[in-house]
Amino acid sequence: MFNKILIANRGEIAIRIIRACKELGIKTVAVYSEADADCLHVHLADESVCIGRPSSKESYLNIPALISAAEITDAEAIHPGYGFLAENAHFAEVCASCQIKFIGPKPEVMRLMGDKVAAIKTAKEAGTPTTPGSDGPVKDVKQALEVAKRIKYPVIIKASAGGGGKGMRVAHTELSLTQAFQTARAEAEAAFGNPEVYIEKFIEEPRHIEVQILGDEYGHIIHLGERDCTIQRSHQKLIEEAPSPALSDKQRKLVGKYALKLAKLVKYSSAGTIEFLLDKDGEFYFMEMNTRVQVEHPVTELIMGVDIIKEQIRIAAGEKLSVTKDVMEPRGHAIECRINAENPEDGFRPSPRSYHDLSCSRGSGRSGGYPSLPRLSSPTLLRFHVGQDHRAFAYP
Amino acid sequence: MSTMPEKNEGKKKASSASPKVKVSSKLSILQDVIRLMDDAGVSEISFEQKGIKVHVRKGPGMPFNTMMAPVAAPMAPVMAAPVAVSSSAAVPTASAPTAAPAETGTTLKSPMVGTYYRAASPDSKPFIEEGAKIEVGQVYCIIEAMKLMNEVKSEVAGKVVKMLVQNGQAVEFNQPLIVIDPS
Repeated sequence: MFNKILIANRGEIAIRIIRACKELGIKTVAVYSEADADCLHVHLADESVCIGRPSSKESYLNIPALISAAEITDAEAIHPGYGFLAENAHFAEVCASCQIKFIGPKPEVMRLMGDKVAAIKTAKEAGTPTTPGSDGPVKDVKQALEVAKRIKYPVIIKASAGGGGKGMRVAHTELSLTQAFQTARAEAEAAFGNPEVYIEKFIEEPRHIEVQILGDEYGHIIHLGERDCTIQRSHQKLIEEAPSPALSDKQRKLVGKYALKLAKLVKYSSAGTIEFLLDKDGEFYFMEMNTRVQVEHPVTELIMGVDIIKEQIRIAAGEKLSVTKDVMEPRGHAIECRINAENPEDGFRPSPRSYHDLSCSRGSGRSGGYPSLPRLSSPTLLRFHVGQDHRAFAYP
Repeated sequence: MSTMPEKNEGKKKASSASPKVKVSSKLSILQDVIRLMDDAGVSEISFEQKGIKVHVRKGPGMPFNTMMAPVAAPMAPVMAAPVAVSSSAAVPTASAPTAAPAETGTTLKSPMVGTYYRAASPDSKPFIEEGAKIEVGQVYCIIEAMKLMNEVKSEVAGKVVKMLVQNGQAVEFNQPLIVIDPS
C-alpha cells in the first residue's frame, strides 16, 4: 500500500481523497496555487506544497510542478481527482516515467475512450447501442447536411474533444444546421483546441443514465449500478440520484450489462462512468465514457456501501477489488443536490458572495457537505448527499 | 464539519501522544531561546536537542508559513517578540520558510518546485557566496525538477546579504531563496 499520496487537485474532491487516505493510514500531500494557500484541503493534508501562480495553467495543470512536488515529498502516487489533469493521458504517462503511480485508468484507455468519436466506434464493437449519427468526424457542411438527411432532424453537433456538457449545438432545420456547423467548429477549437465535430440524432426529452464502473489491474471488472442525472441546467448536472427512478428492473440489468461489456472490451481499470441516454421509448444509447472518478460518485457509495476512492487507491496499489459480487444489490436511495452560487434573476450568472452561516444537520442517513468558495472554478457552492431507505424519504 | 477549523488544528506531530505536554515543554525551550537572542542581540539561531530541531528568526510581524513535514502550532500569539518558528522531529526535513527577514534588501523567491543546489555539481564551487556581488542575469542556484537542472538567475544587481536555503533542500514555488542588497 502507498505510504504517501499527492492530491493533484483542490477543493471538495481533494478533501474527499484526503479523507480516504486518512482512513487507509496513508500520508497526504496537498498542492496549492498562491491564491489557495488558505484553502481547507491545504490545512487538512499532512504536508502541502505551493506549486505556482493562481492561474490553473501555472498550478493545477502544471505537470512539472506537480511531479516535482511529488518528488520532493517522496509521494509514491498521485490522485488527480476530477477535472484538471484527471483525464490527461500525457500526465498519466509522465507519472509512469517518473515512477509515480497515477491513480486512474491506463493512458491508452483514457485516450481511446476520451476521444468521443473513437469511443463511439469502440462502443459499437462491444455491441452497445449508439445514437444514430455521423459515425465519425464531419468535415464540412455538405457532409453535415447529408448525415442529417439520413438520420432525420433534429440533430446535435458535438465536439470530438469535448465533454462536460460544453461545445454542443442543436439544429432543427437545414438552415440552422448550416449556420450552426461552422460556429460549432470555431467553438470547439477555442474551448478544446480541436475543431473536430461529429453529429448525432438529437434525442428529445431523454433521461441521462450513467453506470459506475470499477476495475482492478487483474482484469476483474464490476459495475456498481446506475445513477440518474437527468435534472440539469444548461447541461450542468444539478441533481443526481441512485438508483434511477425511471428504470424497470429489466432496464437496470440491461444498461448494466451494456456498460460492463464495453468496460471489459477495453480492459478498463480504476473508476470510470459510462453515460447513456434513455429515450422516451425506453431505448438506451451510448453517449460517452468518463475515464475518471466523478463529482456525484458519493450517491453510488451511499447505496452500494462501497468507498470508490478507497477502491481506486487499493487498485492502484496493486490489490484486487474488495468487492467480489458481479452484480450488487443497491440498498435504499440516494440523492445529491448541487447548490450553485448563481443568480437566477440574472440569467443564472455566477455570483459568488460570502455566506454568513451554514449549518449541516446530521440526522441519520444524511451527510453534510464541505463548504468552500473556490475563486476560479465552477459556481457550485455546496453539494450534499442524502441516503435513505426509500426515495420518498430522501427527497424532502 | 460546519465551521472552518483553526488554521493549524490539523498540523499535529505524528509522535505527540499528549499534545498539551509537548507544547508546553517546547514553549519553555523557545522562551529560553528568545531570551538568549534578546540578551545576545542575535537575530537568528538554530539548534538541535533531544530529537527536536529549532530554527528561530526574529523579524517584524511575519505571517506563519508552513511548507512540509509536521510542524507545531505557531507560538506567535504567545511570544512577546514576533518570531516565525519551525520545529521538526529528527527527520531531515526542510525547515519552514519565513517571510521578509530583518536585513534590508530584495528577496528573490523560487520560480518553481524542486530541489535547490548551490553549485552546478557536487564537485563544483558554489555559484555565489554571502557577501559577494551579483549582477542581473547571473546564475545563483540550480533548482532541479523532474531530473532537469534549471539555472535560476538574479533579477537584481547588488550584494548577496543572505542565502536562505541549504544545499539539497526541497523548495516550493515562491519560497524565499536569497536576499540581495541592491544599493
